[in-house]
Amino acid sequence: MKSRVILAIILVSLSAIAAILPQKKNSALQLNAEELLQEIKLGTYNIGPDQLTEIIVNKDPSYMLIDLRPASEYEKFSLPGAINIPFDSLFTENWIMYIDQDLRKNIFFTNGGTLSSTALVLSRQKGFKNNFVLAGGLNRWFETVLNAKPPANSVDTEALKIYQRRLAAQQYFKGGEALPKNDVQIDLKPIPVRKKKMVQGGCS
Amino acid sequence: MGPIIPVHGISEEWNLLIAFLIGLGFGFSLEQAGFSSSRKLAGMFYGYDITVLKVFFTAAITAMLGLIFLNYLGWIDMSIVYVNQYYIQSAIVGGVIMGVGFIAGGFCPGTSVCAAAIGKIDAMFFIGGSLIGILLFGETYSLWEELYNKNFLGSLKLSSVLNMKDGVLALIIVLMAMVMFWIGERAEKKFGREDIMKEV
Repeated sequence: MKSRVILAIILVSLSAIAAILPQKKNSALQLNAEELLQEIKLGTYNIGPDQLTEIIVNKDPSYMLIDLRPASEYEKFSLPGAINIPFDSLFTENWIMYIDQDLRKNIFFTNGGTLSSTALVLSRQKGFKNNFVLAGGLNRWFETVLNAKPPANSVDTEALKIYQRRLAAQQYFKGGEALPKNDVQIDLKPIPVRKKKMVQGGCS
Repeated sequence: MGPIIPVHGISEEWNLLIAFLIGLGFGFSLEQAGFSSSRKLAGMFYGYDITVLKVFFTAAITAMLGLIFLNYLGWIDMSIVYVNQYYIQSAIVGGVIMGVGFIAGGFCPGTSVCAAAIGKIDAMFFIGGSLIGILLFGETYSLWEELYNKNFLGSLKLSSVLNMKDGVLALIIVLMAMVMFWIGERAEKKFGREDIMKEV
């Protein structure tokens, strides 16, 4: 048999096999369940409250804060510089270019941490990089930074430093209000003035 | 099993180098198949030599089957394989220009570079012509813009338009190719031009 006939037979039979094979869809960019679990366990994509504070105070341009709460809540209050992409419109045409990009690191946040973590998992599953999540959400951020409590053990200098940084951040966010009241209270009791006594004796 | 080449793990420089090596291989194969001869290429249109059809169509069906099997084995993700975008008008007008240029010049863009590389002067003129064409198109783009972007259909796949499994379509195309090759070879016998082909 001629080699070209053999080749033709091979090609036809291969394509016949291809026709029988079931259609399959692979997704090289998507993570499987184990890989996702591993990422979540390691907390690779978590941004802590203090780290977020530093990003905001330094106006770090490499980060983009994305508020996933509904627009009504965003209008009432949000973090400085944050944009609002409500969770349900996260992957819509209007916003996808913010989520699927290589330029900046996105930080998702909501009041708690659940919805933003879900958004992160979904975006990781879609193969998007550069997305992070504010661990614990706005609630934890308020608690740890804006309502920071002094460390119980004042000997721990590291904890004290963090506390001082948080106090400084409070001044950044809240202005003068943040200053602890008892530090600036001035006792305004009138100082008693002693009566001058007439000079007595001497050589007057 | 992951993709054969981890696209996202390769830097731009490596990507270009790989493209360069593939390009060298492609050029070499074209030259070896005799595609640096405009007579052989033009033979396709006159029916005395259908090597072009056979080589390119065989390459296409081989690649097609390869992709289908690689996809089945999970070695490739077809959703990130680039599919040429389809603009109806552009495709028709471009096809006509390409066809006329092919018959008139005796080369297609790839083979002209190949032929120029082995020192064929007509191929060098052909490349010059293509570059002038590109320049003219670029400079007058605003005139064509509307026609160029008309009826954009995105990255269409024939199998999804026909609502068919990739494999079934592949089988049909392979059978079509076999019939075409058979008809082509009969044409070769009928329109054979020994006088021209001897020199090739």
